[in-house]
Amino acid sequence: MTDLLHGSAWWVLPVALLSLGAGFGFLPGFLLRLLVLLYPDDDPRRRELVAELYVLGRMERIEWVFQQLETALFEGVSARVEQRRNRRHDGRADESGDEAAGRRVPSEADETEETRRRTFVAVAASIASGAVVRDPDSGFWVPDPVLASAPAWIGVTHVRELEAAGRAFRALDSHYGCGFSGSALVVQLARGQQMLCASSSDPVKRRLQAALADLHNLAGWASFRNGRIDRAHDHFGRALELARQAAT
Amino acid sequence: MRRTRALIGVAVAIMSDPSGRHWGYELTRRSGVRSGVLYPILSRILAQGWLTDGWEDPGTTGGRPPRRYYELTDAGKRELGALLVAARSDARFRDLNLGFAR
Repeated sequence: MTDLLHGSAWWVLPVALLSLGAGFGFLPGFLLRLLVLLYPDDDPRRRELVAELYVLGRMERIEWVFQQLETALFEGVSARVEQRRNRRHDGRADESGDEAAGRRVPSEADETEETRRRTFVAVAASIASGAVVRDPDSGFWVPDPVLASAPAWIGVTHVRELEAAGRAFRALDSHYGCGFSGSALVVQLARGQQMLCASSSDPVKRRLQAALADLHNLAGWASFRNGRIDRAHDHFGRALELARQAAT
Repeated sequence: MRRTRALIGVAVAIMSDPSGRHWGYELTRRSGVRSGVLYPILSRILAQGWLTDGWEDPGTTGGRPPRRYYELTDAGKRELGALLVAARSDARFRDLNLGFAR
């Protein structure tokens, strides 16, 4: 029996050392990199979770990796599902684009003042619900292809929608001189803020920050006119902050 | 945003250093909230505009990957402060240390 142990014991030490090396060395990083694959390709959480690993002590790394199993399963998978759903929705919106453009708001030339006012309210309500956006090419109000939910990833198209909303608010305000619906702006602001969390390239993110700064600026003036000075101050502060971020 | 123990814990951790940079791991430790709950909360707070995020300068990290940091915005200081003040009168959070939320 002793001979057997002596005979087989030679490999125990190297295997133990290798296991320790794997467990406290490359294995946590390797496993974590596998886990973060559950997130969408351009999700910043992929880099974030891995980067956090390398400031931890060796003992804490294993615990961190196990914790990220839950994070990646719940947050990563849901982000991926949402991304897929948005892409499918985008595809359907492209297919039905012509039909959607046909359901435009009637032109101003055909309207009486009363109709114009009703249109204004309808447009504001549509913007508030995120149901329509201004198509920069045709100038028509068209159904928002992403509806009101912010996508997990954003491109320049999403930012253009937000910029168009800002232009629309400004145009409505300038044309009717009666301000615009605060709740409509709040919805667009909330959506813009959600989009800030989405994955995007740096130029897109900067453009988004600029568009959102513009909306906060509008919201600031709207609040100011309504006598909500504190709220106006908040909006102007946020606009300034976003504009600074956009400029860096 | 729904007031939960986890959200209050994260708010306490962030508001303990309102002008500093915060990191995911550091926040899990200080708030006692596990990362599977913390990160979705951070996303929601970011979406509200109460936090901004950024990445460390790779030149200062000594070869390790740059980490993502979170900083409170002015609106975030105000809103999280108000959240903590409200939490002080809520029996559910009595055992949490909310002493600085004045």
